[in-house]
Amino acid sequence: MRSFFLKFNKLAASKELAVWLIISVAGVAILGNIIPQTGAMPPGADAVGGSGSLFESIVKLLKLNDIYVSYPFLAIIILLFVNLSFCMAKRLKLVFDDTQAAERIFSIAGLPLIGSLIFHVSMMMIMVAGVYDISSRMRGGMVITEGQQVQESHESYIYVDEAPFFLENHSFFNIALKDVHMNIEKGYILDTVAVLNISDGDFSRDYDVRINHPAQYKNTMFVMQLYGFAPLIRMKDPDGNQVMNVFLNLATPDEGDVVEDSFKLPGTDLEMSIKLYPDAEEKGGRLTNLSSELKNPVFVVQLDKKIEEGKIKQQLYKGIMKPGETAGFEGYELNIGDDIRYWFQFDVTKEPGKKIIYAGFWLGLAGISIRLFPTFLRPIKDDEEAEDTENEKVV
Amino acid sequence: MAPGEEILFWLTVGLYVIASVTYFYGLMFSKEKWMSAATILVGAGFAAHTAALISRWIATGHPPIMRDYENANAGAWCIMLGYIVVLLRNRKLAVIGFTTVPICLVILGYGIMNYTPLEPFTPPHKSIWLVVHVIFAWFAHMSFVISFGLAVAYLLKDSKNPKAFTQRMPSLKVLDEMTYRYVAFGFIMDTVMIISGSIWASSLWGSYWSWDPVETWSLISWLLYALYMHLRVTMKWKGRRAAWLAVFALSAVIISFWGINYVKSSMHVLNMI
Repeated sequence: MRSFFLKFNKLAASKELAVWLIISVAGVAILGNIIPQTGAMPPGADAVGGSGSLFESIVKLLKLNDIYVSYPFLAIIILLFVNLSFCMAKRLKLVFDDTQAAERIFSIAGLPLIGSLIFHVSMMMIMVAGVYDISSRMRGGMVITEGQQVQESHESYIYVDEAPFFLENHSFFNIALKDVHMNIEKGYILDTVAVLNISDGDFSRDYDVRINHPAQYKNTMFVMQLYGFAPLIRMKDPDGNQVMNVFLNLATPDEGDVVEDSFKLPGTDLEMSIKLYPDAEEKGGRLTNLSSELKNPVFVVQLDKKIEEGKIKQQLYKGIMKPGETAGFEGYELNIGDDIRYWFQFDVTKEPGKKIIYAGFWLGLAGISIRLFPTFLRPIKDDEEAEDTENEKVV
Repeated sequence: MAPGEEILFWLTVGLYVIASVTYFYGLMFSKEKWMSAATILVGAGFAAHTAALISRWIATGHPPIMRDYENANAGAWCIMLGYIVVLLRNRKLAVIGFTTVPICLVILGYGIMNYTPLEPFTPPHKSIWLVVHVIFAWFAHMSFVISFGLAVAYLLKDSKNPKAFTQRMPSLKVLDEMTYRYVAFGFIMDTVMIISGSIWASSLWGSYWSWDPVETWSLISWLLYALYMHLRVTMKWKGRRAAWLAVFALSAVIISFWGINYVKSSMHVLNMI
């Protein structure tokens, strides 16, 4: 039994094992770039297709299509953690077994060992926090229109990716998009500010959310991702019933800042296509767009009636409308309100291990700097036979 | 381009091209004067390069860290700065100009092929962490390119039939030690680059690590240099083996900086909002 432990200790603390584990981590990272990863695809998409080939079976068995949360990768990380722990223990034992070495550790000569230990501790922190984070985090997308309030709950997300140990740990506070400010100069969007109000019981606070400037509350981060226009669309059917009265979230603007979207009107067999020019100019009977600023919005609206599923459509109306205008066709009445709002999509993330990982990062940087500091101080001796001074002299 | 930038840019390229040819000729035919001339050409090219960068900085109103052209231009400048610092400290190391200057030319070529007009900072670029990230990336790449040059010089000097020009190089011991030091310095810079990039990514994309292709290849290059350090410090890898590893490790840097964008789409291409 003792010989088994000695062998295990020797293997676990071996420098060669560290080499192979570093190569393995790099290898997994390369594989993750070669095999399409499910995490990089839209929710529900199959990264490796559905051919049923042997390759696909192997990929799915080993979870190589989600390689960074796969068991082989986790096993490598655990082995690396064990290797680092045993290496550190071995070196500390050598220091404490040698009185002279223990004295030297607090001198310049001891810096490499101290730095090396700090670096290894930081790597272990990052590994533990990384595994904790991957198994307990949440990432979702939340779309909020100006004036709308939603709750931080599973149902409020347009997509949500919850790790196995997240366990529906939602916070249930309220989020409202109070206001939007766009700063546009010479056609460039210089700044976009979404004022988010977060309320939770007696707590209520406004947060200015910008690109690179997320809002954070209770370990939940709101990051600005996409925006679009939401005009108020009202429609009455020939019987005078209101079939639509909503701020409609149109698609995000394309390269020329023009918005194009189409959708089916609920409860009817009508399909509506909208093209929005935020800053329109008419030249020779043609509409062009000047900027992304909502200066002179003009809508090109088309309504089609579906006659046969997916094929034949009958055009009921096509025309240019400005905010506040009403159009009539076949007994229907379509109105575009004066009020055009913005909608924003926020990426909402909860990453419980992030702070520990950052602490590990900075500690690692400190460790490696302390470790290498004496190297840069040492004079370079142009002597082929000169003694190697790099290896740590403490142990 | 900014006023005068175009002339200065092409002047830089021209001077670096002539310097590369001169270095090569000087080395191959052991012409000491040609080597000195090449060094002067590098100095002149670097002055033009600096002026081109300043001109662009003034015109855009921000440091040249936005998109491929500015990054390549400033990155190449940083590598040349590193090379000149090496030269000032040890004239015998002028030989690494035969790798460093052509590498800078390739980077400048990549930059001009992906030229973007003058534009102000877009919202994703307005972050101090991006500035830190890019500056440390330049310093890391500068160190790795110089360590590559030193490692190549080591391998040439240590070959079975060394060319005559290798006699003017510093001793193998110095080349080996210098390679290690530049790798070590680059490794620290690379670590800061990854940390600052991660903090920037967290505020921009909501996650400190997304396994984005560029992120992943940065990690791979960091791991390769970590491997170099580990093998060197704990397993006493020196000489040819260490030099070969320093040469090989640069491939991951090239892939993360340039190659991966041709193969996979990356969040590092900032076209959002």
